[in-house]
Amino acid sequence: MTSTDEEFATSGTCGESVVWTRTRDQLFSEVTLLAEVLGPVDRVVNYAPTTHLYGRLLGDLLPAHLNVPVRHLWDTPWQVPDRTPGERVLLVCLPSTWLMLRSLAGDLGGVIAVHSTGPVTPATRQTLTRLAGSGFRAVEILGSTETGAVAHRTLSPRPARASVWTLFPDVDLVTDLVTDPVSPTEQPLRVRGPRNARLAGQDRPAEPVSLEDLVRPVGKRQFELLGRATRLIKINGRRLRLDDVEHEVRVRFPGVDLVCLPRRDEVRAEHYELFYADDTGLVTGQDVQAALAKAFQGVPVPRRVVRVAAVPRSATGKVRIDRLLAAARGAVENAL
Amino acid sequence: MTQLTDTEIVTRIRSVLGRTLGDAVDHLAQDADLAQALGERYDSLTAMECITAIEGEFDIEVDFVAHDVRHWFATVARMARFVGDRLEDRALLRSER
Repeated sequence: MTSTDEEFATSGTCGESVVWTRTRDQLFSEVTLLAEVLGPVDRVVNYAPTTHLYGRLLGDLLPAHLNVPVRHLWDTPWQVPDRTPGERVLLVCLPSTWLMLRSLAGDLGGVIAVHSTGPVTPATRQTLTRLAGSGFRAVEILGSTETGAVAHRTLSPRPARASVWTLFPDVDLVTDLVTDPVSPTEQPLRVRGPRNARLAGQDRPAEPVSLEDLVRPVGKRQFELLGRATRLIKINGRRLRLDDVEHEVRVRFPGVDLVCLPRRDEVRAEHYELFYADDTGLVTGQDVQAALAKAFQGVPVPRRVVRVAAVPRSATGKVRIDRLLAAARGAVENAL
Repeated sequence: MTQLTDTEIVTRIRSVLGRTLGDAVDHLAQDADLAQALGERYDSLTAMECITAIEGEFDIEVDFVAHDVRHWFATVARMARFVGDRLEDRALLRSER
């Protein structure tokens, strides 16, 4: 690592931290590309912590690159951005920011919101619908700490092609996993590019990098995002494998059967709920919650812990989610 | 719809907050500052979660421009007054139609 390199930690699963190193040139290159996609900006209002790559790039380095002022508001996500008429303000958003943005009104020409770090929430769509025709614009960035920004798309209330993303010009989608070029199939989002980070202690970046998303290529420079390829969720920038959560509960409470379901969340974009069956009747939701809080420190506990009579499974052992949700109605829900 | 009493509003607010903050809320005084009493458990994102949950519970909407969120969502008592005012406004609007 040189004095101009910067390190960014991704929270691995089970709390371990993985450190990724990016050179100053990589960061500068990324900021230049982001500036081109976002267009002219007079001022930045930043709701993303700058300890993460997303906030660092858009809340620190982009304003410096453009030589414009920035105001950091990640500690007060309810605070409405101030703005003078005609000013081109970039709002660096977290999922929770969209709840506040719905209260904006009037002529918002020049205001552009950038969204990343998680899937678009219903609040995002509600805000986009309310602000339609006001001049408000929004752009979503798809990326990761390992790769930096990979692709972008414009957000609108009724997009013609909502799920189509365009790769940043220096990123290539590795499509050798597609077996039928006439009718492309789903594949992992696997990219090559000069901005991939180095794992701490290594001389060069991994190449290519596979992300935890499933995509369907659209031509050479675009793709449809189909969803997460695994049961990996990200809450407050912390990654959590639901399989690891289930394993932890099974080890801690032998005999308990359980399943975790990923859930969309208005504030944190992603969250999860835990459903468990305990024949002994001795394990409470608070017990489960406390065990997980201890095992996965810094990661929010499940949004709901629900005790059900049994976790319904098919003949092959696969959880019947429809029956599980039906069983959960009226079941014992433990206050979190 | 019958207007809720202040006590009913407080009870429902405590119940809603309890889903996010746990049973610590049950023992808090109505005028206790949540950020001071709960520390990191009532961080800014959790506050936003509570706002959303209270909106859903009472079918009201917070206007982040017009309402001083930092003030109104600092204590249970203020939340109750805020919710009561919104419900009163809504009842008044309905009666005028």
